[in-house]
Amino acid sequence: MKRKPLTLAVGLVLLVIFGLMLFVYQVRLSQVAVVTLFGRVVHVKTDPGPGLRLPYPISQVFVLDQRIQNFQDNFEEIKLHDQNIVLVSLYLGYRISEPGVFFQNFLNGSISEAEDKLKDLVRSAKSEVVGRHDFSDFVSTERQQMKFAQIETEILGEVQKRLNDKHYGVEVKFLQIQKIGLPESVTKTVFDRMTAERQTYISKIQSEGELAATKIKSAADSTAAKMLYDADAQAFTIRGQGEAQMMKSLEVLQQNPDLATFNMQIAAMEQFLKKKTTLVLDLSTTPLQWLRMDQPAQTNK
Amino acid sequence: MNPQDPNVPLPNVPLPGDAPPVEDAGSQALAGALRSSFFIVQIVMVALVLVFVFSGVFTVEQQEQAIILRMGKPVQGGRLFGPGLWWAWPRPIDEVVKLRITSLTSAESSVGWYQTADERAKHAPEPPPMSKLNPANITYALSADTNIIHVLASAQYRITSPTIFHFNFTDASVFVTNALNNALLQTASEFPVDGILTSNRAEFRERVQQRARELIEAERLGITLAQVEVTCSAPIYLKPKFDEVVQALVKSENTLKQAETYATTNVATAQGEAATRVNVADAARKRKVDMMAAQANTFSNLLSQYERNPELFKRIKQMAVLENVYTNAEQKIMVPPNSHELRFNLSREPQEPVNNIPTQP
Repeated sequence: MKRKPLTLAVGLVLLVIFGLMLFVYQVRLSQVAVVTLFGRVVHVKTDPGPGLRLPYPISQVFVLDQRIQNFQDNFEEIKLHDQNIVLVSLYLGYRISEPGVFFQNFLNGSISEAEDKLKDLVRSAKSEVVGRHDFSDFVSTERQQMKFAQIETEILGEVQKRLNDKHYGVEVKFLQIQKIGLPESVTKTVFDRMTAERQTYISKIQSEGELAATKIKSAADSTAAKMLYDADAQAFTIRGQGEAQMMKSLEVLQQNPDLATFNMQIAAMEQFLKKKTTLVLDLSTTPLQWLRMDQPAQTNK
Repeated sequence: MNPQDPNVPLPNVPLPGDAPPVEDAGSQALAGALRSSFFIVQIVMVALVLVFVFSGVFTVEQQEQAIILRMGKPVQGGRLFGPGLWWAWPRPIDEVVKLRITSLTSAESSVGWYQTADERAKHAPEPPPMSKLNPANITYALSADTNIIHVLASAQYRITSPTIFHFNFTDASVFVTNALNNALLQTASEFPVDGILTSNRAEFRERVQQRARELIEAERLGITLAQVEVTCSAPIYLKPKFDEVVQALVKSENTLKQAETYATTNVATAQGEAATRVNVADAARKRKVDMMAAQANTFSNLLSQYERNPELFKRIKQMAVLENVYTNAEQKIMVPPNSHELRFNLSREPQEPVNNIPTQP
């Protein structure tokens, strides 16, 4: 009798655990639970924490992941408005926006089944939107013409519209173009064109370089010639100024031109015979005549 | 006999702890065995309780943070538990979710390059040059001038909000990779191929980083993008042609540099020559003016003496000059008196032979 409380306590604990397992379920953060009663959705629990339920098989709890799911679309060809063909693949993120509706649309809330539907839906929306655009909307040297982001927004709008129409209980949070390409045969044409462009570019670089170099050299030659021409002109002016300054001194010499001429001649003679001079003299040369004592002095020769 | 009466023992099955009024040896042994078993069961139960309680002890490593979910709901308003030893109620009451927090996490774009991430990691050789590309096998980006180019972006990011990063997305790192993919494709479509490869490389990288950052911030991933590196390459098939362009550019730059050197040298030489010409002219002017001034000065000094006796003045000056001339002469040759002929051997430079004149046979 004295061990009865312990036995009862253990039994009670086991009973509580068993009861919790039967009547309580929990919803984890980022999850949502759909509670069914005889297969019919009766409650959707979106906030994390414990919840009450009736035991299986009366009631069942299906837990769904409410985080944003990644989805990648197939890389496939699409004919554009301008008859070009591109390959486009999309990446989008979606989440279960209405768990009850989602659960009813897809068996036991199967994500893979939902993605199969989403795949078809995205594919048709992508073909429709991309097919309305020209190739220049995807790539263009004019940024104003670029519609890359706009195309993404249009596809997102179209996908969401179709999802709403179908009422799948799914919401697309974002959509991006993940991959873009050209058909294999077109890449060959592009390579051929790129090769030709490279060759043209090489020729252009070479000719432009040579032209620029020639221009630089010509400009330098012209500048140098002008500098020398200007210098000559300046030198000529300076010499002229010198001549004008010399005229002032010339007025002084005008007082006696004979003396002036004599002075200049004498100075020139002295300068001329200053160095490396060989003199051939005879005794009649002034003042050597004084060496001849037999004859009177003669005038200089 | 009432089986519920504890005073009445069941045949051959005595209750543990209740001493039967009449005991034989077998009953006593069974009772003892049951008592021992029950004691062991008690020990085991206590041990299980202890194991259960201590199973809630957990450690958080240096590169981790943990969040405790109690019946699925974050405790303490989603508090993050840092590195150390912690305790939580064991499952299924509490669930410990450990979040990996590295200082920097790396991500790479998965499209646009001619090798996959695995091939790059294994340093696999480049694929052979192909004159056409199957986009299913080799991905690339399209430039604004409709050319094909290979681009690769690698980024490093820091998880600033682990709860958002781990509980808002099934795999947020996939989003980072695709944000890089999208940023590369969209930015490449706005730049010409030569801009991406050469002239606007820095701007291209900047725009890719900006676009990736915008995408990540718009979806609030709980990360901060630290750095984005962008690698660009011409298609393998066209690499030789692109290399030729680079060589042509280098050659053109060299030609321009040579021309600039020529121009600089030529202009500098001309500047020097011009300055010399002006200086020479100025020096000549100065010399002439000074000479003339000196002559005028000498003239003024001598004029009065000259006017007194011009002939004598001239003779005196002449003699003074002759004195200097005779003194400074290198050679003085005296002609002998009464000589009729005088011959000099003047040394001259020998004339160079003229080779281009054909000789007559």
